[in-house]
Amino acid sequence: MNSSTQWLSILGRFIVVFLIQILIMDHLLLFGFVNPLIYCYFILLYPLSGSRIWLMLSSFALGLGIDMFNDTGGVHAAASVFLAWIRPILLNFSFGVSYQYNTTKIPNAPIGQQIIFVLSAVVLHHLVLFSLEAGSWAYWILVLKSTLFTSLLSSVLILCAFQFFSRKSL
Amino acid sequence: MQQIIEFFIRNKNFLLFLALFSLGISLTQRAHSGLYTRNIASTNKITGTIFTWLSDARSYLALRQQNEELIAANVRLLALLDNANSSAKESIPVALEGFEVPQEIIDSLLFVPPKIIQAHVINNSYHRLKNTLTIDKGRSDGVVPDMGVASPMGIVGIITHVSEHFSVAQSILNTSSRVVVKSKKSDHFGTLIWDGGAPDQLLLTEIPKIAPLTIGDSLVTDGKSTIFPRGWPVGTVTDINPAKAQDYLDVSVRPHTDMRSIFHVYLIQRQEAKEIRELEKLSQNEL
Repeated sequence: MNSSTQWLSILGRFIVVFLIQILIMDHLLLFGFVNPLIYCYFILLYPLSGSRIWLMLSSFALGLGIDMFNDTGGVHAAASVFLAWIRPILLNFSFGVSYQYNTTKIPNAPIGQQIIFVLSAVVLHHLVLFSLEAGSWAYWILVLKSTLFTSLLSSVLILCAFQFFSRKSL
Repeated sequence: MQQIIEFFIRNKNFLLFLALFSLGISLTQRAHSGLYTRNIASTNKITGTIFTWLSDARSYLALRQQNEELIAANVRLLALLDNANSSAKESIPVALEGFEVPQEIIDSLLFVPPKIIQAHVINNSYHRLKNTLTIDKGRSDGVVPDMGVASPMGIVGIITHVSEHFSVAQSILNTSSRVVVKSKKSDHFGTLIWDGGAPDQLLLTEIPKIAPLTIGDSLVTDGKSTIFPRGWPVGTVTDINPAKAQDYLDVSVRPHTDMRSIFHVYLIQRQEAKEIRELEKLSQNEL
């Protein structure tokens, strides 16, 4: 894939993920409090060879856009930057040191590794997000509860999206 | 010098992360403290317009329920108006009998109605700890901060931020929300808060034990805060427990409004609010 089509596909994914999050996901509430956050999909699927600087900047922009629509200040932005920054460590942890030299894509990796990667990334992202949102230790039970349930739902949705939308493009 | 530059280049990823992360946190803190920057709030033009489209589409799905609520509210308000007018018109002339009193003074004795703006909620959250409502009326429609927000069924929040055409209200489902309410039957008052639990469970604290409260009682706003006029419906008592602090009660309250489905709202401003606030400020300065 040459670099201009890669840029276009990143931009397209950014816009699609953003629109799905604010137009559909933010209006879904399962069991009264679980609001799936699928926009981590963009950060997880950012090209492995892409620059970390651009990943962090675009994640920040994505998070900030979602904050604007939710009136949450900068919690999504901060949590997204955190996930973008820690992503190489998680990649290393899930797929082994050699992930950088792999030509294969994350959605084509063995399903066990994918689950570890997505789940660890989403849990960390949601934990940072809900802690910042609560802004105080007084609500730690609620923070953990939200993190647990929301992470499960977000992870399942992201893994499904991997299988349905990203698999074939080798 | 070269070492410093090299240090920056070597750690550029971490430094960028640190910078963006702290920017995010500072924006969050500003939002929590209420000092919004104008472009990071859903009151701006782009987000406001998109919210308006969305809520227009959604409102069709709930027309029946909304109509029923509005009819119920109309009936209640008509009864109230009838009562107030007839009792005032009867009692004032009797009290002033035999005095030469100009009409303006009689008028000024009558109840000052609060200023009410009719509006719609275009975005509503209830699953976070700091929930807000975005409303489709702004400064150009006469909305100012500290106006009360009520649905046809009861109070739902307080306006905190206003832009030209939109405004944001702190929902009663916000851990920073505090509203003074009283029992309909007596004048004992307490503070209505939310502890971040279910959206249909509020907490009435600081209400004295001697208050004659029973399960099923209606709570209304107390006129002591300058935001809501006296007597706006709030919710019903669902549970009463002794509080940790002696002589006080912890009371669970279910709001009359289903906080998950709000569309039509009234923005309420007490006409006397400014005068009361200035007077109170003056008295505090002198003490």
